[in-house]
Amino acid sequence: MTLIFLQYPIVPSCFVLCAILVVLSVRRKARGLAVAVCAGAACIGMVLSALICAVPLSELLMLLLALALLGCALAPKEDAP
Amino acid sequence: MSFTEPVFLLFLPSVVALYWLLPRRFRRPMLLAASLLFYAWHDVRLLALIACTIAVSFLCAIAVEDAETQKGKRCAVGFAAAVCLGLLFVFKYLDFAVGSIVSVGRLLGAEVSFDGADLLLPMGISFYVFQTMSYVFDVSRGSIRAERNMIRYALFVTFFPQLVAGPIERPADLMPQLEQPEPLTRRAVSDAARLLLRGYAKKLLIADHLAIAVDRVYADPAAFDGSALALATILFSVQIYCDFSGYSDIARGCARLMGIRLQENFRRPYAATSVRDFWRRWHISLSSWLSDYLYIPLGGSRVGTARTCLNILITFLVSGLWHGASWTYVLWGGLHGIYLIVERLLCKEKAPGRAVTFALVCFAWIFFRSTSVSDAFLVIGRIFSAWSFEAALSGTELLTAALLIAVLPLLERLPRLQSVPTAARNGTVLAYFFVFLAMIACRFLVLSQHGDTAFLYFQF
Repeated sequence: MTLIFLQYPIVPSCFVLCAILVVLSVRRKARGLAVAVCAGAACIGMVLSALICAVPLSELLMLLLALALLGCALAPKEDAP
Repeated sequence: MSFTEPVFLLFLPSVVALYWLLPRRFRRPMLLAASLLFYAWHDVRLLALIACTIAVSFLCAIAVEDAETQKGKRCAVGFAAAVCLGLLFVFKYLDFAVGSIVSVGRLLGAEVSFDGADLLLPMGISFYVFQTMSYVFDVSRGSIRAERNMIRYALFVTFFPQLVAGPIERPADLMPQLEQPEPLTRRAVSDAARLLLRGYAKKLLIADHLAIAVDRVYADPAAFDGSALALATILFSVQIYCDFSGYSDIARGCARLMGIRLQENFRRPYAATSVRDFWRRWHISLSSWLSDYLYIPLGGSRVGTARTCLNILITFLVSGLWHGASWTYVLWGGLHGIYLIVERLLCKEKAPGRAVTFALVCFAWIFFRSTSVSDAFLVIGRIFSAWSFEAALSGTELLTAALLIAVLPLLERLPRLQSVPTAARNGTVLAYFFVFLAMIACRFLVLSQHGDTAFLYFQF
């Protein structure tokens, strides 16, 4: 499996930064909102850099899904009926 | 109009704004006009058919209530059933019925041919016919009063969120809500936003993406080995769930914005521990309709074992036929009927468990998804023959499919923002934001690779 986005360091860097900020924004009680805004900005940065570097949409989707999975896993849940 | 068409993004806010801004007495006529516009968007001719169904069931229900003898009531109910189910038969099943008779004739050596009448299949006809029939049956049972106002009744049938693909609402639940909707509170908006985002994510992100691989494999099953077909079948089970429950979530979200609560149509069906449990969680509005108006009137489980088994089989064959005019759907329904009969006879003490139930349901989906019975048996034959593990999906596709399936249960359990304590909202907001971005990326990807996709249940 060849992943094209790995050829452009800015994309995985933004991804890792965003993932760390997501974890921090959930864990931190103080300034959690500011960290969450930074996480959102890092995610948008990742999307823009991926588009500029012509990373295939399928790979961008995979990265966004990985972040969505992380966000959903860390967010509070509703109880199952 | 479809929930996924860009024009719907203009239609919904305009209708909701008009609905709450207009004086109370104009709301219902406006909502009826909007619902008719929503339906006519696809094809204006469809309005004639739905108008005929509404007029006949409306007048027959009044005739049922006003009839002084049981015979008169029966005649009115019979007339309504004959017209509404007759329209359903002509537009949905005529080609299938005549084609099947012609095939039998050919097998017996007769020189006959039939090219099909090729009638237009009206969107959602199975849904609104069942809804009008439940109204007439309920009036004849005396559980509700016949509606004397045509606009109120027409709105009950055509209410746009549930018109094309359900949930099949009961008159006793929906009509009072249309009369007296709940006020638009922050909680209602928050509920609606969650349902809409969840519904769109299920449809545009998960179902549409999985459809690319499933369609590719099922378009030519002979070209793939057993492992690819088994994987495509599992992916289809997730696709159809996300497609249909996504539609139901969007419908519930739209209705919630107008102060109306539609019933829950799915309750995590793949967590079912038996096929019986599965049918309590899958397409709940259809299951309860068939139970109330077919299975119980046939005698339900109050009769002997053999008769109960026959009742189950009849109910599921009808359920299969309701889904589509094809032998594949009949076999799918029949297979579920057999599962339930076997479960009833052999598993009285202990449920089969989640894994076995999921495997049985997936096996039945093969018939549902295949384009013909011969294709379905080809798929089954290849799944149970030697696997060569040829890659049907690329590494990226496989990883994306795994991520989509992993996100689904978490996405379903994301709460509405208002119910989360302020300190814990960041994670929820970020989760919704990432899902939203992934949905947009997926939409572009699907449109570029696969073209536009309709909801699977539109064809029913």
